[in-house]
Amino acid sequence: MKKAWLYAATITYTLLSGCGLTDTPNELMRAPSADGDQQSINQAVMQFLPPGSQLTVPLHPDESSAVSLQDLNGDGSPEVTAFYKSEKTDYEIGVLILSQKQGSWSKVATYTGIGSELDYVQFLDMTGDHIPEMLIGFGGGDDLNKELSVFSLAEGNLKELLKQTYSVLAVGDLTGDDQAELALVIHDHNNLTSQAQIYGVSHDKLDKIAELALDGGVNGYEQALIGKASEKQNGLFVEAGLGAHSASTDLLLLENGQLRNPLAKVEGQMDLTFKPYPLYSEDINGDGIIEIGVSTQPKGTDDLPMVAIPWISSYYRWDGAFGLTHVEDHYQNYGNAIDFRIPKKWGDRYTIEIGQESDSPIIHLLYFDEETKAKAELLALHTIPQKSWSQVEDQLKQKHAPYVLLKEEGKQVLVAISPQGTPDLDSASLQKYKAMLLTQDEIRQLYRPLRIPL
Amino acid sequence: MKGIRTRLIVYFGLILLLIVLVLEGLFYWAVHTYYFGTATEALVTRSTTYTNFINKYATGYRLKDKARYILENASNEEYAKIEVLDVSGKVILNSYGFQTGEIIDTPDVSDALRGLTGIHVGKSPQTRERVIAVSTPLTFQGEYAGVLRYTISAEPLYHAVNQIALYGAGVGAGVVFFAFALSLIIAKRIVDPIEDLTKAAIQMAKGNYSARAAKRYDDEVGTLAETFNYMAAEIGKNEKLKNDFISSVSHELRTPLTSIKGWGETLISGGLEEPEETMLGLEVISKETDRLIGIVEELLDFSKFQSGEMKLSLERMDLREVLDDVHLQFAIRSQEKQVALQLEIPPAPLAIMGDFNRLKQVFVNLLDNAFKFTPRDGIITVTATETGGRLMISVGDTGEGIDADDLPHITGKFYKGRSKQSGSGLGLAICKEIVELHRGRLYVNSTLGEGTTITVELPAAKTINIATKG
Repeated sequence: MKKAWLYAATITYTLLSGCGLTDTPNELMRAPSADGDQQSINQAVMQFLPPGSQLTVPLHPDESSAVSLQDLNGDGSPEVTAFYKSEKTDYEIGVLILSQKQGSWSKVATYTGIGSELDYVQFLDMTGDHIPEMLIGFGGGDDLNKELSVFSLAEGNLKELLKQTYSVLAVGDLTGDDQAELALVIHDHNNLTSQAQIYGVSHDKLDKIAELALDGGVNGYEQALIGKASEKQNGLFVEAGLGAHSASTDLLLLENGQLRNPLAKVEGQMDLTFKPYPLYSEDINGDGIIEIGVSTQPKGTDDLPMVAIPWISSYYRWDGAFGLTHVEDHYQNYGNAIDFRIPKKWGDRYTIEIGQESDSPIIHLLYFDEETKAKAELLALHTIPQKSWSQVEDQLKQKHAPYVLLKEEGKQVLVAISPQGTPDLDSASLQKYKAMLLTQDEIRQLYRPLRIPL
Repeated sequence: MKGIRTRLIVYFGLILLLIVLVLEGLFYWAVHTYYFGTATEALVTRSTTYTNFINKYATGYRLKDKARYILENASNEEYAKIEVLDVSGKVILNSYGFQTGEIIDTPDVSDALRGLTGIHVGKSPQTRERVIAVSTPLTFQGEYAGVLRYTISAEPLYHAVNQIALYGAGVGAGVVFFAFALSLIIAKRIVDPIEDLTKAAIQMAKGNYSARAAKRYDDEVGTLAETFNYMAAEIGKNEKLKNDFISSVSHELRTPLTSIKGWGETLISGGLEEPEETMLGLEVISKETDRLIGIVEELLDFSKFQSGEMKLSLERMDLREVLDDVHLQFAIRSQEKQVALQLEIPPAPLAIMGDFNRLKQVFVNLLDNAFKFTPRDGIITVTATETGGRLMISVGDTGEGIDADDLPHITGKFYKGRSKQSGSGLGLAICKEIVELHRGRLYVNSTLGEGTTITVELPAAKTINIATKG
């Protein structure tokens, strides 16, 4: 071994110096001491955990950790809250609260909930006293029931303010009074009933303040979100799954203590928010108002089977009455994490085709005339493995093909290639086509990586 | 004065210091490499193995679920800090259960996001603690979804390495000190014989030629001491020779002076009445004066040779003329002493570039010596030959010969051998000088009791054009 002489030198020196330099490098390995705070908190938590327990992290929301520092009793110094799974049984989730007294951590309270996973944890003032309550959702696993408990820490004891089963939940200001409300959507599979319940401050206590029955015939509820429905009004967006894979969105508004759904399906009319595939509501354009997504089919793809259709994500916002206003369209590809906004100037004279390549199909964005069925390429999105990119780049440069490198890090490179030459179109169409071509700057502005939850 | 001792110690010390410093540097590097290499290797192994495991078996997990899985399965004995970072470098969970949300932008993270195993040894930007961090990419659906980062503190490693290096420095200082002491001893062993030699030289300079330098070791200085002693012995010998010469020259000068003074006083007291006696006295005075002049001439010649002022007036000549001349000069003495003088000269001329008078002086001297040491009825032979551009003239006698011990010295100055004959002892020395000025050689062969042959070897002149003769 090539390091033999190093060992020999070290051993010789150790013997020569006659001192106890017996620490091998492996024995000297230890965590950085500079994170002393976190380390000491971790050690304190580990000390109070039942033997064989492991810390666990809540599934929701995304920004959550196994150990948090929150001032739960309003004394000005934060308490440590740690969540753990017990090894004794798979169906218990533990909550451990420690507080610091004269430099050392001591146990304040513990709670053991029934559940196999920790679905949700949030620390938020729900009672209006500016001291955060602890919202903990215990779950039984995939698609099983979940139960939310709201605790407050008062006089060294955990007090359960609320306990309620739920399918999805959302926390946020629904009434516009800067005080958070809790929205629960409860779905009973057996009785095929569903309801939305809103909890908020009522007479300085956390209490149910509104309730609305929802469609009980849905497959299930997948997401709830509280946000701005319009400039002036907040709303609760509830995503429901229907049938095999289709979905719809309910918008619930709290007005005068009553919940209402302005977009509710009217007998004999199309459900405005129906979509063949789920598309969750989100603020797609960053204007602070939540848009409702609806998957729409590109033109000229009627012959394709459902799964082969390159669905376009169309986003709408509530028009303030009983309808929706179109905001913008996106082409979103989950496999390649592409989010390409369809420019306004394309109107409805475009379509999307997916190439037949087996490993990474090329996405063609095309000019499309519904009457003549004439097509012409506007842009092609190529996904190329990182290792063959330099070769492809050379070829592109040789052909003088105009291209824009949209993503260069990671395993796959994404490049947008503009067409060369004039397509075979009649002069009127050609004029329209030319107006639709994109500059490189426009391409860069329209592309962004698809936001995928962690 | 910068003595050998000081220089030796300084050079020795400098060389050793340099060696020790270089070795110490190498040693520090080796220990540093060993400690950090081993620690990094261990961390890399653990990190890559775990990442491979997660990427292989937890493919369906999103990054957050992977992070949760990693936390829930972390060992309680885990010594490293484990962090799960998203693609922007944000910490979404660490092994203490915290989601700190800090952005880590050390090079290891960007390496990991390019699919490599990133290693970073350096200060943690947040805490200034020196750390070793190893980052590996976590994948989800074929894309890099985040980074798994192991961090350990490098401070204990630095501490250990410095500790060992400190011991190394201690040993190095010991070695330098030891070498210093050793160089003192070595310097003493070198310098002491030289000092002995110096003392002996001072003694010799004061005239004590019997002083001898002690030879301590069989080395260069020892050889020098031996040579020195040899030199002292030679000087002593020369000194004795010089003293002998002065006394013999004084004696030589006094003998004619005594007879001159004797005759002078006889002439003064006796008046000039008896012309016969007066004539005899004047003849003796004149003869003795010639002898004095001869001795003084020899001394002057010799001093000219000594100072290098002797100049030859070279001309093309026939050596046979010199030999004939000398033969003629010694004919009377040959008859008087009844010693046969034979001359064997080739018929062809013996051409040579030479100084006639000086060469004559050489042969006169040689024959004079030969007559001096050849008893009655002896034979003196002068032979001249030319072979290969060299003229060989040998003067042989049937005299008493020279002792083999004296032979190397007889051409030296003031050497007279054991004979009681008169003379300055300079004759042969002057001959040798003259012959050598002619680019020739003089050598002596002698057997005690049988005779002596002195050979003069001279370069022949190049033959000149025959046309000039006609």
